[in-house]
Amino acid sequence: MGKRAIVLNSSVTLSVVALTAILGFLYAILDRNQKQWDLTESGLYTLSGETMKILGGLTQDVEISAFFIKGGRGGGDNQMVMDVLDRYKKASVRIKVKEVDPQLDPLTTQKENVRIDGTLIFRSGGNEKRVLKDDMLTTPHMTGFDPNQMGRREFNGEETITNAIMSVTRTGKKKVCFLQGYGEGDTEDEGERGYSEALKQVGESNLDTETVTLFSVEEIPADCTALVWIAPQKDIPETAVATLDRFLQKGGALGLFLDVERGDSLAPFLSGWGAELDKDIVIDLSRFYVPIPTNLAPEYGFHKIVDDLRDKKAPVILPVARSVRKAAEVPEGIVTDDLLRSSEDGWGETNMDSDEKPKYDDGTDVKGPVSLALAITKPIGDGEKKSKANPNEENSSENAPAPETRILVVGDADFFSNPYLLAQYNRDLFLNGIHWLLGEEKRLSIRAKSPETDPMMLTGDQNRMIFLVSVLTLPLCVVLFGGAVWYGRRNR
Amino acid sequence: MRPAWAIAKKEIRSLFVSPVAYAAIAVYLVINGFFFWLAAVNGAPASLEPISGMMSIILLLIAPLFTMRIVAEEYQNGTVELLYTSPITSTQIVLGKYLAILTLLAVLLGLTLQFPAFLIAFGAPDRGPMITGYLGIFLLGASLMAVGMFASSITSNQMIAGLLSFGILLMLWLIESAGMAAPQHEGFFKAISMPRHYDNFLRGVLNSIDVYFFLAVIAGFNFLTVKSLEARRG
Repeated sequence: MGKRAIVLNSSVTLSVVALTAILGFLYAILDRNQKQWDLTESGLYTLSGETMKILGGLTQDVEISAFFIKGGRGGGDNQMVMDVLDRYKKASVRIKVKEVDPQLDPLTTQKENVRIDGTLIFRSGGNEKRVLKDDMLTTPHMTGFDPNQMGRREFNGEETITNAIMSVTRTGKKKVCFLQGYGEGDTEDEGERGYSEALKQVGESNLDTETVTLFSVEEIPADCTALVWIAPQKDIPETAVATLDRFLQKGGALGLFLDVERGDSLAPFLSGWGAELDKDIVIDLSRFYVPIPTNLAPEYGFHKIVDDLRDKKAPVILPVARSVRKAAEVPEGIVTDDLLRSSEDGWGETNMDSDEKPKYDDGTDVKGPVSLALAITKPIGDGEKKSKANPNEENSSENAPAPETRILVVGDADFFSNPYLLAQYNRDLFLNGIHWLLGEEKRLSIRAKSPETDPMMLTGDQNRMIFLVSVLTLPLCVVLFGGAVWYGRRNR
Repeated sequence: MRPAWAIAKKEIRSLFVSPVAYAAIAVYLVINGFFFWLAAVNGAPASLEPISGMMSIILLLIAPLFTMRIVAEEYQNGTVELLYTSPITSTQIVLGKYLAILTLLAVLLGLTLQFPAFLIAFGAPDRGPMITGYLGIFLLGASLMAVGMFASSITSNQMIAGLLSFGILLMLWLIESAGMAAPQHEGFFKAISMPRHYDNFLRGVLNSIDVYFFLAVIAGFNFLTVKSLEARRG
């Protein structure tokens, strides 16, 4: 090889190496400073403003261990979750993501007691929360109200992940106290009439829980952030009501869930807070789950508790409910909002003993639309700020709601009992209510985004047109054109 | 620029009189058209997703066919001497030939615009992923052509050029799986993986690093082609 060839080859090699180094260096710089534009209609690959705000406010690291089998059956779904986690990682230096392949690292998987592909473990400051990939992918329940939802999955990874981050970074643990003493629903009962699942869901939201026997306390314990009262069966004495009222007047929160024909002794108490009970059972001939007209699929009002359910067209089922409505005269300072109601074809049937087929009786029955649940608020005075034993992060933020009493009254307690909690979107309704009572305004319900577009439903003609054009005509035209060009050149 | 453009015009004429180009385009359209029709008939989502993988894989297979003769033929026919004795630089030669190849790619992809047209006419597609999808496949195709042209520049034999091009492309396509054998370098293999950078475009996401990756491949392999010509010229 001549000297010139060697110089040339050396020069070429050096140029190639230099260019590779430059391109690689630029790649490394650009990789750290990526810019991304999400052109999807639903903003599927962009974190919401709410999430960005929460990530921006993190004061401690959050470690997320993601257990995914690479190349496993999870496939595209796993990748979707990993992509979301990647966006969180890029959005905040406080988010640390560790990927673990259970097949390649069985020791860590065993140590963390992970058994399901697609498990995420969130840890921060001694708190831990686990979520599953399957929790993030839901198929809207078919209700017959929106057939276009059929089969289209929704991905609520951002909501699930952001709420998990909020759970583990909450500095003070809030406590939900379940009232007992008057035949209430039992949160330890795992049977058909129990509420053990509801208790479990509350616990999984990183909340402490406690049972408080109302008749044995003079004051509600100071560390109870909110009370939940599930279907008291017996008459409530005035002393107990007074204890409850004192708690509420100081800015407490109460979720009261009533059974049909029970809890009437609370009517005067509720009247003082702007709500009225009717002795009825609500029937709806338009919005009910066939074949039982008392299994209600209520309409939604406008309130933080139900806004996301309404926007998602996510139905709930109230197995049997009584009406709970705004009082004719609401005390000053109290605001009541309808949460759930029947359709106009519904009514509150007051004659519950009749064997005849129920029908609306003007003058005796409650005319529809019938209100089924209320959210009641009352601001408390400046000098009466309720002191909370566990100050929480949300309330100390600049966006915390002003101190106020909050009462949630629902005319059905069965919807979150063990058989019904996971039906439709009942769990969401229950947890939204709990979080509202706790003043967790930032508790997110980020609208789920569908990763899928609607399917094409072709007519016969459209089907034929696509075949004729795409498979036959266009390729044939190309071949004929090419043949003509070749033939023309050949004969020149 | 004018010499490059003159070379491009000459190459375009040459490409579009070759029956290979028409045959390859027709095959590309038939296969993608068939799978598009099949997906539509079976109620697939109104998006390019059902065929996007097919479009890229077939492009990977036919890119060597398009590029194997583009430089190799000059050596085979001896016409390269005419180029070398002219005042045209190697860079201008490469630029001209590359422009011609890109024109062919644009025609090929242009004929596939029937698919989004059908989606819009008969469905309710999300247009963002369609736009980024086409940008992605154009950049991918341009990268594949740059690799093919480089392979064509280092041999006089078109068949070898085609095989070499196919081999390099296949390696770049599958390189990410090497990360499984060497997990400590997984990040590197992901960074140089073509499908990984292509995926974001299909989803409707325009990411600066993905655009840069393909532009870097195009620039890098065109640079190598220039150096290859210069080396053989010298």
